[in-house]
Amino acid sequence: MLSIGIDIGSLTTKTVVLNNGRFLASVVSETLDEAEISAQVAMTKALERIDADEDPLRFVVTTGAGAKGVSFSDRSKAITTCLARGIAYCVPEARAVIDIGAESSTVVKTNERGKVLDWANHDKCAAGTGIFLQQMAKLMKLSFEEMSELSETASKGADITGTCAVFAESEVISHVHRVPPTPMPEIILGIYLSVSSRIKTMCKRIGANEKIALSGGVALHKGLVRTLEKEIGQPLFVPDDPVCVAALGAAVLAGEEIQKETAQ
Amino acid sequence: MYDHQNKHNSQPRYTPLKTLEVFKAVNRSFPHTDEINHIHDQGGKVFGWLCTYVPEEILHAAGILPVRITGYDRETDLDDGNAYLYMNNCSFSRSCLQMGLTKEYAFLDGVVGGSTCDGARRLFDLWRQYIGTPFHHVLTVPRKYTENAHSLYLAEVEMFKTHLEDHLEIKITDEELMGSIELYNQTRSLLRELYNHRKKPNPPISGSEVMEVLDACFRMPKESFNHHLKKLLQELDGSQNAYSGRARLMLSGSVLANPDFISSIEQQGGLVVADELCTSTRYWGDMVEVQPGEPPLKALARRYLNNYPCARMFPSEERFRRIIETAREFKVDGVISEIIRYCVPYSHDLPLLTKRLADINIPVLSIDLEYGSSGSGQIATRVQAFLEMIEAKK
Repeated sequence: MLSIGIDIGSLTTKTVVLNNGRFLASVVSETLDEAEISAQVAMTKALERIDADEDPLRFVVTTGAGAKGVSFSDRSKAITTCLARGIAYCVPEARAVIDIGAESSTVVKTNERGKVLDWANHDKCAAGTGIFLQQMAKLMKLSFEEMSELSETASKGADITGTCAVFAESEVISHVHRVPPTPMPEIILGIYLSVSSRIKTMCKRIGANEKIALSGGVALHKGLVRTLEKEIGQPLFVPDDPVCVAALGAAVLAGEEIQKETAQ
Repeated sequence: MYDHQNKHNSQPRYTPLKTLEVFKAVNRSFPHTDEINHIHDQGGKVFGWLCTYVPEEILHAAGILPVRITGYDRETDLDDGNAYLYMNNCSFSRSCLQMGLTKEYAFLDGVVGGSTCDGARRLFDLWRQYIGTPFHHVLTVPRKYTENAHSLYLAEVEMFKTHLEDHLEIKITDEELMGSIELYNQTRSLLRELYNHRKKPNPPISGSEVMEVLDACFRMPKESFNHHLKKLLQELDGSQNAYSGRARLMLSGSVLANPDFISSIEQQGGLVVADELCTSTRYWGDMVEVQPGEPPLKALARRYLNNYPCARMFPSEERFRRIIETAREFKVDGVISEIIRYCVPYSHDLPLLTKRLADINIPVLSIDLEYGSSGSGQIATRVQAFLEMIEAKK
């Protein structure tokens, strides 16, 4: 029986398929207007990848923003629970995970069994999330790779203190148009620092202070990861596939449910 | 859709409580209830009060029907409220003001409040200025429990009584006060009985249903409220209803009057069994105990200042002690703190309270919201995560 985890995020939908705890496939697809269709498309793609039947024996756990609206889901779980299980699967030594997604950021403190001890999230504002970084990249007409590279040459970060994405954006614009303009690398480092300080505060709030892993699409943004590590004062574990950690956790939970059902 | 998911919420043995319909009907029709219409037809008076530090018995002893000002118990547009009150006043005060300005409190013959927090004070400043209810009174409420504080508050209560007597051209006798105290104490002990039902492993009444009862309690004459509450208690004694949930929860915070908010938590599988709110335990928590030979006014003042404290009181110890006591008494697994945005006293106390509860292994979920919220998707997500965390710890 396949255990399938589907994480329906605000930009992308992630699917992970496990069989008896063994990893089979993961697929990232675009989130469409309706959660139901996004999840259906994502699952079909994943099943195609492993050449499974169209409708195999399966247990589906959904999570993320649209999790509740999926009719073929067997259970929906909170993103925090999924992150904890997912990170325990791919980075067993981690005791906390920072997840920076497109529109939210979350820090989860976990124990060795992948159970949630505490969590903090920030989902009221886009500052400190992937969309914010994307917006900034667009504003400066740079790719993420160029941003990462340029930030390395900065000696200090520009002041970006706005705690709101819109205000922060206007701060960046005023740095660009200043006479003389603030050097690009400094602005980029400033952006990274503003995101990092938000995350750091959340870690502090729940006492996540060691063995921290990083997940979500933003974990692929090298410059930001480097800045975040410096701010937090320790290296972060970045799994091979940071984007799919929550979906992986959902699949692990699906596996647990299958075990529970067979035990009964 | 996916029934097997919702097995926590299914309440197969549930039969509707008949008496609850009476309370719901009052809440739906307020302020145009039969009882309020009748009082006005007979030339009687209805006063609004705001804040649990207003001794309601004095109004009752003066022959007035006291009703609580709760603003809109739904999240609504606050155009006028926002125009007059600055945004950093809580949405509760803006909601009450909105209703006042749109003449929805025009049926009131008087308003009484306490100078308990800035939100309430600014609301009253504006109420006096723009709404023009015939009688206004604001009691100064000390923040401490010292002897001086008690004598100051007693003087305030006496002043309030005199002001009311002068306005109505009557005298409130000690006998009348004693009668009102007795009636209100009866309400308190009946509510305690209601809450005792919630201590059961599978309570016969849900948290949102209890909120309907409490809302009606603020809007009905206590005589008829007590009568109906007795009937409800009889119904509960014989009821086969048994609610179950994924975790027993307690609500903590200031004013909450929207049963739908509690429903939204219960729909996630949380069993709301206890609370520490202005609109619940803090309202009915303590009895007025009149010592032999003591003037009833003194006993009233003592009870109201010593009551289950608001976060404004100092030191906070007493409130924390009572919260922990309540949490243990009702065997709660977690506390949901609801803080109306920009409510200073409650938000400043929260880190200390969270620490205290963490020490006895009770996690706290903190939700900040606008007054009247029915629970958004975002709140549901947080509650879900909270419940899953509690379940994992069990």
